[in-house]
Amino acid sequence: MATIESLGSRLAVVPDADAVIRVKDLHKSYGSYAAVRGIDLTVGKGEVFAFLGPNGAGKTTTVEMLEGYRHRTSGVVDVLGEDPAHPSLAWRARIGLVLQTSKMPPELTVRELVARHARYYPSPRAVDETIDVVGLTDKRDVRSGRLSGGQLRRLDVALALVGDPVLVFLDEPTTGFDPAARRQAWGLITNLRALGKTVFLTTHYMDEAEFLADRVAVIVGGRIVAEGTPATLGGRDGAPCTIRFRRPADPGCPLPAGTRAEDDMIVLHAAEPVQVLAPIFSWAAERHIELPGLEVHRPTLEDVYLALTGEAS
Amino acid sequence: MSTANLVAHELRLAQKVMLRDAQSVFFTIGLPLLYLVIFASFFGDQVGSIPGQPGEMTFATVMTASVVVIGVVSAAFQNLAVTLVQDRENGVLKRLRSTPVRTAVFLGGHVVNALTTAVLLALLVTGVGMLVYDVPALGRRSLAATVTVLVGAVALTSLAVAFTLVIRKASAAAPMTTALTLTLFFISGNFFPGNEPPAVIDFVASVFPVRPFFAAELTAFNPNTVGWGFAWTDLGVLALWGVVGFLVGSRMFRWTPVGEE
Repeated sequence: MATIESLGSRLAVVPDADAVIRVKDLHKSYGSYAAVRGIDLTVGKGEVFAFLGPNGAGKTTTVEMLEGYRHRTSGVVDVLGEDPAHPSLAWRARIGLVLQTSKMPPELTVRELVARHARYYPSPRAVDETIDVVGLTDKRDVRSGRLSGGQLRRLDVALALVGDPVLVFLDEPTTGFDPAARRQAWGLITNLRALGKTVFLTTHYMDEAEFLADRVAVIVGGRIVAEGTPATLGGRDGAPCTIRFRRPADPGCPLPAGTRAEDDMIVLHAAEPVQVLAPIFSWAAERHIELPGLEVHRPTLEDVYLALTGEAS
Repeated sequence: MSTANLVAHELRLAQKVMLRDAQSVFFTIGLPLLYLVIFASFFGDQVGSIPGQPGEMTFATVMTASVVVIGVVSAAFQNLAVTLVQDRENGVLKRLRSTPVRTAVFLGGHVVNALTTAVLLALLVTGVGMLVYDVPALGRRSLAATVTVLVGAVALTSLAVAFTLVIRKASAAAPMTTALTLTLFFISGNFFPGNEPPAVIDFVASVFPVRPFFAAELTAFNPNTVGWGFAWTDLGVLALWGVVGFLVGSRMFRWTPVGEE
């Protein structure tokens, strides 16, 4: 596939042989509206790749083109060695999906549904073990129509896993989960990585992307505006820290050299916080001041994401 | 797992889905029986002639043949089309489409369920007609009655799959199929047999499959029919509809909601 092999240098992050998903110059238009405007990305084998973006950014359109649900307007897409626009049954057998909303016949039980999906695949996982993995063993004989939203999502994950897929697409898998259920789901996704599965994850939760993803891409207005690891996305690793502490109660006390107060707080921005903090600690120790409210704040993934999406839009 | 095994599993699940939904059971099975009880209880003993049929027969005999047709339409067309459209528009089929299940396996389970239900319902209606309303035994015309039910059921399941292409919303599935079938029952004489309809309505009825189906079934039920009771022309029209439905439905069946690719 010459077109795939000639992908741009950005795609070199993942060696060709290890790439599970390769996308080059992907476009999707609906009439005059361009939903996706030239996306390049690669996802390597065994990676957890998080695809982030605000609503309407082209996230689901892109994912559905990779899943084989939508046809692209132009560009090259290769998923597990095939073009998803013309998916074969063998290709579908290697893919597991959790769509944005869980839809299944409410009259069938958890076990009936998981067993049904298992029968479709050439080498499925054990049905009861899969139900156990998603924590629904005590609900296995309950009809899906009587499950809570979180339980339904877990059932959906079980349906995605029971075929023992190589690649799993998880479209907002924890939306609507309570914190405990989200942690459980994270454990499940971490297990997928341990099993060597490749996971393509979309989420609105930055802590989820930070906890789970090896790499992250941010899409805004149909274009990828940043790509990297959660720690380095958008230059996050080199971004200045914010240091803040409450100013001394004694108004006559001089401030540390090079600082100024904002109301009753002293706020500094520093690319190398240790170099800045060392003289402040000396200054405080000499005066027996405890630096009340001291915070050293590196930009979170959410800060970077909001900056990226704010700038781009 | 073989295709036959997979279809058998899909069939069992389709049966469970139908039987666990009380509303579906009532409208598919209960309502046709209710029609029979109401019409046969009021007018069952009356005797008269039906256009195109030899001799005279009881109203109960006519209504039993009519309700067999209504039941088959209800199970093989109406219930199947509504189930498929609702599952498609609600995203159930889209979810299934992510798996390597073949269209023939998925549809096979639903179609065989619809056929089985239609045939069992036809047997039930015929049994009630004979045991409760003194409909004469069919004798050797039983074969024609059975073949007519089978041809009608197969044709109507094909048409149901094709008709799902016309319906664009889950909420419209039941009203649209009900409106269509009720209209066809009225103009085909299923509720008021024996009355000569106006020429235009008569022509429209003759184009659609319900009237040939009813005519063929009534020929088998009519005690005055001579011979085996096969109405070959009517069966031919039904079969033709089935072929059209199959060609359209099998080529254009869609898994994703309308508006999505």
